[in-house]
Amino acid sequence: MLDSALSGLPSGGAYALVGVAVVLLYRLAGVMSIAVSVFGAFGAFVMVASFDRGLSLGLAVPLGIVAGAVLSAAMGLVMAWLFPDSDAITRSVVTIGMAITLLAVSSRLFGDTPRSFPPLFPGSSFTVSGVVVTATNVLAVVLAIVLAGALWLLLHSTRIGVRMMAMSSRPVSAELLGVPLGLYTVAVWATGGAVATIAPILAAPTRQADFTSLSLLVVPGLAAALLGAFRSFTLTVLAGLGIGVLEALAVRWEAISTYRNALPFLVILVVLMWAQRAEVWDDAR
Amino acid sequence: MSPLLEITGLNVARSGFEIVNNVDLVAPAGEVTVLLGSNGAGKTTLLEAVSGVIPCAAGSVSLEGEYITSMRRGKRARRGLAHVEQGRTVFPELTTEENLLVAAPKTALGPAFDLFPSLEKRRHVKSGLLSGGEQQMLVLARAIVGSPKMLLLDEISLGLAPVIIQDLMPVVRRLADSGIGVLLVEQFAELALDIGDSALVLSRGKVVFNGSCEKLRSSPELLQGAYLAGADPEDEPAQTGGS
Repeated sequence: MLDSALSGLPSGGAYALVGVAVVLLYRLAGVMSIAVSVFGAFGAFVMVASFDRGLSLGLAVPLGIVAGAVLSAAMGLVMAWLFPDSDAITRSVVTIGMAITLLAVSSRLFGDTPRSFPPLFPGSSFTVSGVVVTATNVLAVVLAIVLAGALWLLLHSTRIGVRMMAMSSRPVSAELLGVPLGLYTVAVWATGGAVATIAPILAAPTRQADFTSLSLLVVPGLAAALLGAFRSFTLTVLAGLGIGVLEALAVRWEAISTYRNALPFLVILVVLMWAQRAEVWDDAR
Repeated sequence: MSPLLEITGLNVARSGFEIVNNVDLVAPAGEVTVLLGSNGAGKTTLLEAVSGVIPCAAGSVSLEGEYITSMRRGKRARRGLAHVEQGRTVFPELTTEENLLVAAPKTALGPAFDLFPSLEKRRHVKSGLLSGGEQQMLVLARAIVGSPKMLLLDEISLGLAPVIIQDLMPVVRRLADSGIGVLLVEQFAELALDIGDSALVLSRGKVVFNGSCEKLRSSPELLQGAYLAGADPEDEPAQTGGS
Protein backbone atom coordinates (compact mmCIF):
# COMPACT_ATOMS: atom_id res chain seq x y z
CA MET A 1 0.00 0.00 0.00
CA LEU A 2 2.87 2.34 0.83
CA ASP A 3 4.32 1.60 -2.61
CA SER A 4 1.07 2.76 -4.19
CA ALA A 5 0.98 5.89 -2.07
CA LEU A 6 4.58 6.77 -3.02
CA SER A 7 3.84 6.24 -6.71
CA GLY A 8 1.39 9.14 -6.43
CA LEU A 9 4.08 11.57 -5.33
CA PRO A 10 5.27 12.74 -8.79
CA SER A 11 1.68 13.56 -9.72
CA GLY A 12 1.09 15.05 -6.29
CA GLY A 13 4.21 17.20 -6.62
CA ALA A 14 2.98 18.39 -10.01
CA TYR A 15 -0.46 19.24 -8.60
CA ALA A 16 1.22 21.07 -5.74
CA LEU A 17 3.39 23.11 -8.12
CA VAL A 18 0.47 24.05 -10.40
CA GLY A 19 -1.46 24.94 -7.24
CA VAL A 20 1.43 27.13 -6.05
CA ALA A 21 1.52 28.87 -9.46
CA VAL A 22 -2.26 29.45 -9.28
CA VAL A 23 -2.00 30.86 -5.73
CA LEU A 24 0.95 33.06 -6.72
CA LEU A 25 -0.93 34.58 -9.65
CA TYR A 26 -4.13 34.94 -7.66
CA ARG A 27 -2.41 36.65 -4.73
CA LEU A 28 -0.04 38.89 -6.63
CA ALA A 29 -1.58 39.46 -10.05
CA GLY A 30 -5.23 39.24 -8.97
CA VAL A 31 -6.03 36.66 -11.64
CA MET A 32 -7.60 33.22 -11.42
CA SER A 33 -5.34 31.88 -14.13
CA ILE A 34 -6.41 28.67 -15.80
CA ALA A 35 -3.93 29.46 -18.55
CA VAL A 36 -0.88 28.93 -16.38
CA SER A 37 -0.89 25.14 -16.79
CA VAL A 38 -1.23 25.59 -20.57
CA PHE A 39 1.95 27.68 -20.49
CA GLY A 40 3.47 24.91 -18.38
CA ALA A 41 2.43 22.24 -20.87
CA PHE A 42 3.89 24.35 -23.69
CA GLY A 43 7.20 24.62 -21.83
CA ALA A 44 7.20 20.87 -21.18
CA PHE A 45 6.60 20.15 -24.86
CA VAL A 46 9.43 22.51 -25.85
CA MET A 47 11.58 20.50 -23.45
CA VAL A 48 10.60 17.09 -24.89
CA ALA A 49 10.85 18.33 -28.49
CA SER A 50 14.39 19.63 -27.83
CA PHE A 51 15.30 16.37 -26.08
CA ASP A 52 13.98 14.35 -29.03
CA ARG A 53 16.15 16.45 -31.35
CA GLY A 54 19.24 15.43 -29.40
CA LEU A 55 19.61 18.12 -26.76
CA SER A 56 20.76 16.72 -23.44
CA LEU A 57 18.22 16.51 -20.61
CA GLY A 58 20.32 18.93 -18.56
CA LEU A 59 19.82 21.60 -21.25
CA ALA A 60 16.35 20.63 -22.45
CA VAL A 61 14.77 20.99 -19.00
CA PRO A 62 15.99 24.58 -18.38
CA LEU A 63 15.06 25.45 -21.98
CA GLY A 64 11.52 24.17 -21.40
CA ILE A 65 11.23 26.08 -18.12
CA VAL A 66 12.46 29.27 -19.81
CA ALA A 67 9.95 28.75 -22.67
CA GLY A 68 7.05 28.38 -20.19
CA ALA A 69 8.25 31.41 -18.25
CA VAL A 70 8.65 33.58 -21.37
CA LEU A 71 5.19 32.66 -22.66
CA SER A 72 3.67 33.40 -19.26
CA ALA A 73 5.66 36.66 -19.05
CA ALA A 74 4.19 37.66 -22.42
CA MET A 75 0.75 37.16 -20.90
CA GLY A 76 1.84 39.33 -17.97
CA LEU A 77 2.98 41.99 -20.43
CA VAL A 78 -0.43 41.97 -22.11
CA MET A 79 -2.06 42.30 -18.67
CA ALA A 80 0.21 45.15 -17.58
CA TRP A 81 -0.07 46.96 -20.88
CA LEU A 82 -3.70 46.52 -21.88
CA PHE A 83 -5.55 45.63 -18.68
CA PRO A 84 -3.76 47.44 -15.83
CA ASP A 85 -6.94 48.80 -14.27
CA SER A 86 -9.36 46.02 -15.24
CA ASP A 87 -11.22 44.00 -12.62
CA ALA A 88 -10.33 40.42 -11.69
CA ILE A 89 -13.12 38.89 -13.79
CA THR A 90 -12.03 40.68 -16.98
CA ARG A 91 -8.41 39.66 -16.45
CA SER A 92 -9.37 36.06 -15.72
CA VAL A 93 -11.49 35.91 -18.87
CA VAL A 94 -8.53 37.24 -20.88
CA THR A 95 -6.37 34.40 -19.57
CA ILE A 96 -9.06 31.86 -20.53
CA GLY A 97 -9.09 33.29 -24.07
CA MET A 98 -5.31 33.05 -24.17
CA ALA A 99 -5.44 29.44 -22.90
CA ILE A 100 -7.90 28.38 -25.61
CA THR A 101 -5.82 30.09 -28.31
CA LEU A 102 -2.64 28.44 -27.10
CA LEU A 103 -4.34 25.01 -26.92
CA ALA A 104 -5.31 25.40 -30.58
CA VAL A 105 -1.87 26.60 -31.64
CA SER A 106 -0.13 23.85 -29.67
CA SER A 107 -2.26 21.08 -31.15
CA ARG A 108 -1.00 22.27 -34.56
CA LEU A 109 2.58 22.52 -33.36
CA PHE A 110 2.87 19.37 -31.27
CA GLY A 111 -0.07 17.23 -32.46
CA ASP A 112 -2.58 15.39 -30.28
CA THR A 113 -0.70 12.16 -29.79
CA PRO A 114 0.86 11.45 -26.39
CA ARG A 115 4.63 11.96 -26.23
CA SER A 116 7.12 9.90 -24.36
CA PHE A 117 8.75 12.08 -21.71
CA PRO A 118 12.13 11.05 -20.34
CA PRO A 119 12.29 10.44 -16.58
CA LEU A 120 14.48 13.03 -14.87
CA PHE A 121 16.47 10.39 -12.95
CA PRO A 122 16.13 7.12 -14.87
CA GLY A 123 16.53 4.03 -12.71
CA SER A 124 17.63 5.85 -9.56
CA SER A 125 15.88 4.35 -6.56
CA PHE A 126 16.51 3.08 -3.06
CA THR A 127 14.66 0.91 -0.58
CA VAL A 128 13.42 2.00 2.84
CA SER A 129 11.93 -0.74 5.02
CA GLY A 130 11.13 -2.81 1.97
CA VAL A 131 9.45 0.06 0.11
CA VAL A 132 11.03 1.19 -3.14
CA VAL A 133 11.50 4.96 -3.30
CA THR A 134 12.49 6.45 -6.64
CA ALA A 135 14.55 9.61 -7.05
CA THR A 136 11.62 11.18 -8.93
CA ASN A 137 9.36 10.58 -5.91
CA VAL A 138 11.81 12.37 -3.64
CA LEU A 139 12.39 15.16 -6.16
CA ALA A 140 8.66 15.76 -6.51
CA VAL A 141 8.22 16.33 -2.80
CA VAL A 142 11.45 18.29 -2.35
CA LEU A 143 10.80 20.56 -5.35
CA ALA A 144 7.24 21.36 -4.28
CA ILE A 145 8.36 22.20 -0.73
CA VAL A 146 11.50 24.11 -1.73
CA LEU A 147 9.80 26.21 -4.42
CA ALA A 148 6.81 27.03 -2.21
CA GLY A 149 9.20 27.86 0.66
CA ALA A 150 11.32 30.08 -1.59
CA LEU A 151 8.25 31.99 -2.77
CA TRP A 152 7.03 32.39 0.82
CA LEU A 153 10.44 33.74 1.83
CA LEU A 154 10.50 36.11 -1.15
CA LEU A 155 7.11 37.52 -0.19
CA HIS A 156 7.66 37.82 3.53
CA SER A 157 11.35 38.57 3.92
CA THR A 158 12.30 40.83 1.05
CA ARG A 159 11.33 44.35 0.08
CA ILE A 160 10.40 43.15 -3.41
CA GLY A 161 7.97 40.68 -1.84
CA VAL A 162 6.42 43.38 0.36
CA ARG A 163 6.03 45.65 -2.68
CA MET A 164 4.45 42.78 -4.63
CA MET A 165 1.94 42.19 -1.83
CA ALA A 166 1.17 45.92 -1.77
CA MET A 167 0.65 45.79 -5.53
CA SER A 168 -1.90 42.99 -5.15
CA SER A 169 -3.69 44.79 -2.32
CA ARG A 170 -4.01 48.28 -3.86
CA PRO A 171 -2.36 48.49 -7.26
CA VAL A 172 -3.01 52.20 -7.78
CA SER A 173 -1.74 53.18 -4.32
CA ALA A 174 1.32 50.98 -4.79
CA GLU A 175 2.11 52.57 -8.13
CA LEU A 176 1.69 56.03 -6.63
CA LEU A 177 4.49 55.04 -4.23
CA GLY A 178 6.78 54.23 -7.14
CA VAL A 179 6.21 50.46 -7.42
CA PRO A 180 6.92 49.53 -11.06
CA LEU A 181 3.63 47.73 -11.61
CA GLY A 182 4.34 46.58 -15.16
CA LEU A 183 7.73 45.09 -14.34
CA TYR A 184 6.46 43.30 -11.23
CA THR A 185 3.40 41.96 -13.06
CA VAL A 186 5.61 40.47 -15.78
CA ALA A 187 7.96 39.02 -13.13
CA VAL A 188 5.07 37.39 -11.25
CA TRP A 189 3.69 35.84 -14.45
CA ALA A 190 7.14 34.63 -15.49
CA THR A 191 7.67 32.97 -12.08
CA GLY A 192 4.21 31.38 -12.24
CA GLY A 193 4.96 30.08 -15.75
CA ALA A 194 8.31 28.62 -14.69
CA VAL A 195 6.80 26.84 -11.66
CA ALA A 196 3.91 25.55 -13.76
CA THR A 197 6.36 24.16 -16.35
CA ILE A 198 8.25 22.11 -13.77
CA ALA A 199 4.95 20.39 -12.89
CA PRO A 200 4.30 18.55 -16.19
CA ILE A 201 8.02 17.79 -16.63
CA LEU A 202 7.81 16.03 -13.26
CA ALA A 203 4.52 14.23 -13.87
CA ALA A 204 4.61 13.48 -17.61
CA PRO A 205 6.82 10.34 -17.43
CA THR A 206 4.24 8.64 -15.19
CA ARG A 207 1.01 9.53 -17.01
CA GLN A 208 -0.61 10.05 -20.41
CA ALA A 209 1.33 12.95 -21.85
CA ASP A 210 -0.56 14.63 -24.66
CA PHE A 211 -0.77 18.42 -24.65
CA THR A 212 -4.40 18.64 -23.49
CA SER A 213 -3.91 16.17 -20.63
CA LEU A 214 -0.90 18.07 -19.33
CA SER A 215 -2.80 21.36 -19.65
CA LEU A 216 -5.55 19.83 -17.52
CA LEU A 217 -3.13 19.55 -14.60
CA VAL A 218 -4.78 22.84 -13.68
CA VAL A 219 -7.83 20.96 -12.34
CA PRO A 220 -6.03 19.17 -9.49
CA GLY A 221 -3.87 22.31 -9.17
CA LEU A 222 -7.01 24.39 -8.61
CA ALA A 223 -8.28 21.82 -6.10
CA ALA A 224 -4.99 22.12 -4.18
CA ALA A 225 -5.10 25.94 -4.37
CA LEU A 226 -8.69 25.87 -3.11
CA LEU A 227 -7.67 23.76 -0.12
CA GLY A 228 -4.97 26.36 0.50
CA ALA A 229 -7.72 29.01 0.39
CA PHE A 230 -5.84 30.63 -2.52
CA ARG A 231 -3.47 32.08 0.10
CA SER A 232 -1.35 29.47 1.83
CA PHE A 233 1.55 27.92 -0.09
CA THR A 234 2.04 25.34 2.69
CA LEU A 235 -1.55 24.08 2.59
CA THR A 236 -1.53 24.11 -1.21
CA VAL A 237 1.59 21.92 -1.33
CA LEU A 238 0.19 19.51 1.27
CA ALA A 239 -3.13 19.37 -0.56
CA GLY A 240 -1.47 18.76 -3.95
CA LEU A 241 0.67 15.94 -2.57
CA GLY A 242 -2.36 14.52 -0.76
CA ILE A 243 -4.51 14.49 -3.90
CA GLY A 244 -1.69 12.76 -5.82
CA VAL A 245 -1.35 10.09 -3.13
CA LEU A 246 -5.12 9.56 -2.89
CA GLU A 247 -5.35 9.15 -6.67
CA ALA A 248 -2.59 6.54 -6.58
CA LEU A 249 -4.23 4.69 -3.70
CA ALA A 250 -7.54 4.64 -5.59
CA VAL A 251 -5.92 2.39 -8.21
CA ARG A 252 -5.90 -0.41 -5.63
CA TRP A 253 -9.68 -0.54 -5.44
CA GLU A 254 -11.13 -1.69 -8.72
CA ALA A 255 -14.59 -0.30 -7.99
CA ILE A 256 -13.32 3.28 -7.76
CA SER A 257 -10.12 3.21 -9.79
CA THR A 258 -11.99 4.10 -13.00
CA TYR A 259 -13.17 7.30 -11.35
CA ARG A 260 -9.88 8.32 -9.75
CA ASN A 261 -9.34 11.16 -12.25
CA ALA A 262 -12.55 12.73 -10.96
CA LEU A 263 -11.03 13.02 -7.48
CA PRO A 264 -9.90 16.67 -7.91
CA PHE A 265 -13.43 17.62 -8.97
CA LEU A 266 -14.78 15.82 -5.90
CA VAL A 267 -12.35 17.76 -3.71
CA ILE A 268 -13.42 21.06 -5.31
CA LEU A 269 -17.09 20.17 -4.84
CA VAL A 270 -16.69 19.17 -1.19
CA VAL A 271 -14.61 22.28 -0.36
CA LEU A 272 -17.09 24.62 -2.04
CA MET A 273 -20.04 22.97 -0.28
CA TRP A 274 -18.20 23.16 3.04
CA ALA A 275 -17.35 26.82 2.44
CA GLN A 276 -20.98 27.62 1.64
CA ARG A 277 -22.45 25.75 4.61
CA ALA A 278 -23.06 28.91 6.67
CA GLU A 279 -25.01 30.58 3.88
CA VAL A 280 -27.14 27.47 3.30
CA TRP A 281 -27.80 27.19 7.02
CA ASP A 282 -28.75 30.88 7.20
CA ASP A 283 -31.09 30.54 4.19
CA ALA A 284 -32.71 27.46 5.69
CA ARG A 285 -33.48 29.39 8.84
CA MET B 1 10.16 80.50 -5.39
CA SER B 2 10.46 78.39 -8.55
CA PRO B 3 7.29 76.72 -9.88
CA LEU B 4 7.83 73.13 -8.83
CA LEU B 5 4.47 71.98 -10.13
CA GLU B 6 2.86 73.81 -13.01
CA ILE B 7 -0.56 73.02 -14.41
CA THR B 8 -1.69 74.77 -17.57
CA GLY B 9 -5.15 74.71 -19.17
CA LEU B 10 -6.01 71.38 -17.57
CA ASN B 11 -9.26 69.67 -18.53
CA VAL B 12 -10.26 66.36 -16.95
CA ALA B 13 -13.36 64.31 -17.66
CA ARG B 14 -14.99 61.35 -15.94
CA SER B 15 -17.46 59.18 -17.86
CA GLY B 16 -17.69 61.85 -20.55
CA PHE B 17 -18.49 64.66 -18.09
CA GLU B 18 -16.02 67.49 -17.77
CA ILE B 19 -15.07 67.75 -14.10
CA VAL B 20 -12.04 70.06 -14.30
CA ASN B 21 -12.17 72.89 -16.79
CA ASN B 22 -9.21 74.92 -17.99
CA VAL B 23 -7.38 75.07 -14.67
CA ASP B 24 -4.05 76.88 -14.33
CA LEU B 25 -2.09 76.35 -11.14
CA VAL B 26 1.44 76.95 -9.93
CA ALA B 27 2.71 75.28 -6.74
CA PRO B 28 6.20 76.41 -5.69
CA ALA B 29 8.68 74.42 -3.61
CA GLY B 30 8.60 75.17 0.10
CA GLU B 31 5.02 76.43 0.05
CA VAL B 32 1.62 75.04 0.94
CA THR B 33 -0.85 75.70 -1.86
CA VAL B 34 -4.37 75.18 -0.58
CA LEU B 35 -7.09 73.94 -2.92
CA LEU B 36 -10.59 74.60 -1.65
CA GLY B 37 -14.07 74.10 -3.01
CA SER B 38 -17.42 72.54 -2.21
CA ASN B 39 -18.20 68.85 -2.68
CA GLY B 40 -18.02 67.91 -6.34
CA ALA B 41 -16.00 70.99 -7.29
CA GLY B 42 -13.30 68.81 -8.88
CA LYS B 43 -10.52 68.97 -6.26
CA THR B 44 -9.90 65.21 -6.00
CA THR B 45 -10.20 64.81 -9.77
CA LEU B 46 -7.57 67.51 -10.25
CA LEU B 47 -5.12 65.77 -7.88
CA GLU B 48 -5.77 62.42 -9.56
CA ALA B 49 -5.02 63.90 -12.97
CA VAL B 50 -1.78 65.41 -11.68
CA SER B 51 -0.56 62.08 -10.26
CA GLY B 52 -1.82 60.08 -13.24
CA VAL B 53 -4.60 58.10 -11.54
CA ILE B 54 -6.89 59.36 -14.31
CA PRO B 55 -5.86 60.77 -17.68
CA CYS B 56 -6.01 64.44 -18.65
CA ALA B 57 -8.36 65.37 -21.52
CA ALA B 58 -6.36 68.50 -22.38
CA GLY B 59 -3.69 70.77 -20.95
CA SER B 60 -0.35 69.99 -19.39
CA VAL B 61 1.25 69.14 -16.06
CA SER B 62 4.94 69.69 -15.46
CA LEU B 63 7.19 68.92 -12.53
CA GLU B 64 10.43 70.91 -12.30
CA GLY B 65 9.91 71.96 -15.91
CA GLU B 66 9.51 68.39 -17.19
CA TYR B 67 6.20 67.46 -18.81
CA ILE B 68 4.66 64.55 -16.95
CA THR B 69 1.17 64.74 -18.46
CA SER B 70 1.28 61.35 -20.16
CA MET B 71 3.89 59.71 -17.93
CA ARG B 72 2.88 56.52 -16.05
CA ARG B 73 2.03 57.15 -12.42
CA GLY B 74 4.89 55.00 -11.11
CA LYS B 75 7.34 57.08 -13.12
CA ARG B 76 5.81 60.33 -11.87
CA ALA B 77 6.26 59.01 -8.33
CA ARG B 78 9.91 58.19 -9.02
CA ARG B 79 10.33 61.75 -10.35
CA GLY B 80 9.36 63.03 -6.88
CA LEU B 81 5.58 63.37 -6.98
CA ALA B 82 3.78 61.82 -4.00
CA HIS B 83 0.00 61.58 -3.82
CA VAL B 84 -1.71 60.83 -0.52
CA GLU B 85 -5.11 59.65 -1.67
CA GLN B 86 -8.37 60.27 0.10
CA GLY B 87 -9.56 57.54 2.45
CA ARG B 88 -6.47 56.29 4.35
CA THR B 89 -5.25 53.86 1.72
CA VAL B 90 -3.02 51.64 3.86
CA PHE B 91 -2.18 48.12 2.70
CA PRO B 92 -4.18 46.43 5.47
CA GLU B 93 -2.44 43.04 5.37
CA LEU B 94 0.99 44.64 5.74
CA THR B 95 2.43 45.92 9.01
CA THR B 96 3.23 49.59 9.62
CA GLU B 97 6.89 48.99 8.76
CA GLU B 98 6.04 46.99 5.63
CA ASN B 99 3.75 49.79 4.45
CA LEU B 100 6.71 52.15 4.71
CA LEU B 101 9.00 49.64 2.97
CA VAL B 102 6.77 49.81 -0.09
CA ALA B 103 7.91 53.41 -0.54
CA ALA B 104 11.51 53.29 0.67
CA PRO B 105 14.26 50.91 1.87
CA LYS B 106 14.63 50.18 5.59
CA THR B 107 17.52 52.60 5.98
CA ALA B 108 15.29 55.50 4.90
CA LEU B 109 12.44 54.94 7.36
CA GLY B 110 13.88 57.14 10.13
CA PRO B 111 12.12 60.39 9.13
CA ALA B 112 8.74 58.65 9.32
CA PHE B 113 9.21 57.73 12.97
CA ASP B 114 10.78 61.12 13.76
CA LEU B 115 7.70 62.82 12.37
CA PHE B 116 5.19 60.44 13.95
CA PRO B 117 6.79 58.81 17.03
CA SER B 118 3.55 57.01 17.87
CA LEU B 119 3.97 54.88 14.73
CA GLU B 120 7.24 53.48 16.08
CA LYS B 121 5.35 51.59 18.82
CA ARG B 122 2.99 50.17 16.21
CA ARG B 123 5.81 49.21 13.87
CA HIS B 124 4.96 45.51 13.67
CA VAL B 125 1.17 45.82 13.88
CA LYS B 126 -0.86 45.11 10.75
CA SER B 127 -1.94 48.49 9.41
CA GLY B 128 -5.53 47.32 9.03
CA LEU B 129 -5.67 47.17 12.84
CA LEU B 130 -4.41 50.74 13.41
CA SER B 131 -6.75 53.54 14.49
CA GLY B 132 -8.00 56.00 11.86
CA GLY B 133 -5.55 58.63 13.04
CA GLU B 134 -2.62 56.22 12.98
CA GLN B 135 -3.56 55.05 9.50
CA GLN B 136 -3.62 58.65 8.27
CA MET B 137 -0.22 59.28 9.86
CA LEU B 138 1.04 56.12 8.17
CA VAL B 139 -0.08 57.12 4.67
CA LEU B 140 1.47 60.54 5.18
CA ALA B 141 4.69 59.01 6.53
CA ARG B 142 4.70 56.52 3.63
CA ALA B 143 4.61 59.39 1.15
CA ILE B 144 7.40 61.24 2.95
CA VAL B 145 9.95 58.40 3.25
CA GLY B 146 10.13 58.34 -0.54
CA SER B 147 11.75 61.83 -0.31
CA PRO B 148 9.20 63.57 -2.54
CA LYS B 149 9.67 66.99 -4.04
CA MET B 150 5.95 67.60 -4.41
CA LEU B 151 3.26 66.27 -2.10
CA LEU B 152 -0.41 66.09 -3.08
CA LEU B 153 -2.62 65.72 0.00
CA ASP B 154 -6.28 64.87 -0.46
CA GLU B 155 -8.51 65.50 2.55
CA ILE B 156 -6.13 64.06 5.12
CA SER B 157 -8.53 65.20 7.87
CA LEU B 158 -11.46 63.17 6.56
CA GLY B 159 -13.12 61.18 9.36
CA LEU B 160 -10.51 62.09 11.97
CA ALA B 161 -11.01 63.52 15.46
CA PRO B 162 -10.36 67.30 15.67
CA VAL B 163 -7.44 66.78 18.05
CA ILE B 164 -5.67 64.57 15.50
CA ILE B 165 -6.34 67.01 12.67
CA GLN B 166 -4.77 69.78 14.74
CA ASP B 167 -1.68 67.58 15.15
CA LEU B 168 -1.46 66.77 11.45
CA MET B 169 -1.68 70.30 10.06
CA PRO B 170 1.56 71.60 11.67
CA VAL B 171 3.32 68.54 10.27
CA VAL B 172 2.23 69.58 6.79
CA ARG B 173 3.61 73.07 7.42
CA ARG B 174 6.92 71.65 8.64
CA LEU B 175 7.20 69.53 5.50
CA ALA B 176 6.76 72.61 3.33
CA ASP B 177 9.31 74.48 5.43
CA SER B 178 11.78 71.69 4.72
CA GLY B 179 11.52 72.52 1.00
CA ILE B 180 8.77 70.18 -0.21
CA GLY B 181 5.99 71.70 -2.32
CA VAL B 182 2.55 70.84 -0.94
CA LEU B 183 -0.78 70.97 -2.75
CA LEU B 184 -3.38 70.55 -0.01
CA VAL B 185 -7.02 69.72 -0.62
CA GLU B 186 -8.89 70.22 2.61
CA GLN B 187 -12.49 70.36 3.80
CA PHE B 188 -11.63 72.43 6.87
CA ALA B 189 -10.86 75.66 5.06
CA GLU B 190 -9.88 77.61 8.16
CA LEU B 191 -7.26 75.08 9.29
CA ALA B 192 -5.82 74.81 5.80
CA LEU B 193 -5.63 78.58 5.35
CA ASP B 194 -3.83 78.87 8.69
CA ILE B 195 -0.88 76.83 7.41
CA GLY B 196 -1.12 77.73 3.71
CA ASP B 197 0.70 80.33 1.62
CA SER B 198 -1.51 80.63 -1.43
CA ALA B 199 -4.99 79.35 -2.16
CA LEU B 200 -7.22 78.46 -5.06
CA VAL B 201 -10.95 77.92 -4.88
CA LEU B 202 -12.56 75.60 -7.41
CA SER B 203 -16.21 75.76 -8.29
CA ARG B 204 -17.69 73.34 -10.84
CA GLY B 205 -14.22 72.57 -12.09
CA LYS B 206 -13.16 76.18 -12.64
CA VAL B 207 -10.83 78.37 -10.62
CA VAL B 208 -12.93 81.15 -9.11
CA PHE B 209 -10.28 82.49 -6.72
CA ASN B 210 -6.51 82.51 -6.89
CA GLY B 211 -4.62 84.50 -4.30
CA SER B 212 -2.97 84.47 -0.91
CA CYS B 213 -4.30 82.49 2.05
CA GLU B 214 -4.02 85.63 4.14
CA LYS B 215 -6.46 87.45 1.88
CA LEU B 216 -9.02 84.65 2.20
CA ARG B 217 -8.44 84.39 5.96
CA SER B 218 -8.99 88.07 6.55
CA SER B 219 -12.18 88.27 4.52
CA PRO B 220 -14.44 85.25 5.08
CA GLU B 221 -17.06 86.81 2.82
CA LEU B 222 -14.58 86.46 -0.05
CA LEU B 223 -14.24 82.74 0.68
CA GLN B 224 -18.00 82.31 0.96
CA GLY B 225 -18.47 84.18 -2.30
CA ALA B 226 -15.83 82.10 -4.05
CA TYR B 227 -17.44 78.86 -2.84
CA LEU B 228 -20.86 79.95 -4.03
CA ALA B 229 -19.70 81.28 -7.39
CA GLY B 230 -21.51 79.30 -10.03
CA ALA B 231 -22.96 76.89 -7.48
CA ASP B 232 -26.57 75.82 -7.15
CA PRO B 233 -28.35 77.33 -4.12
CA GLU B 234 -28.67 73.85 -2.56
CA ASP B 235 -24.92 73.17 -2.80
CA GLU B 236 -23.11 72.94 0.52
CA PRO B 237 -21.41 76.15 1.66
CA ALA B 238 -17.82 76.19 2.86
CA GLN B 239 -17.01 74.44 6.12
CA THR B 240 -15.03 77.18 7.67
CA GLY B 241 -15.12 75.64 11.15
CA GLY B 242 -11.85 74.25 12.34
CA SER B 243 -13.36 71.45 14.36
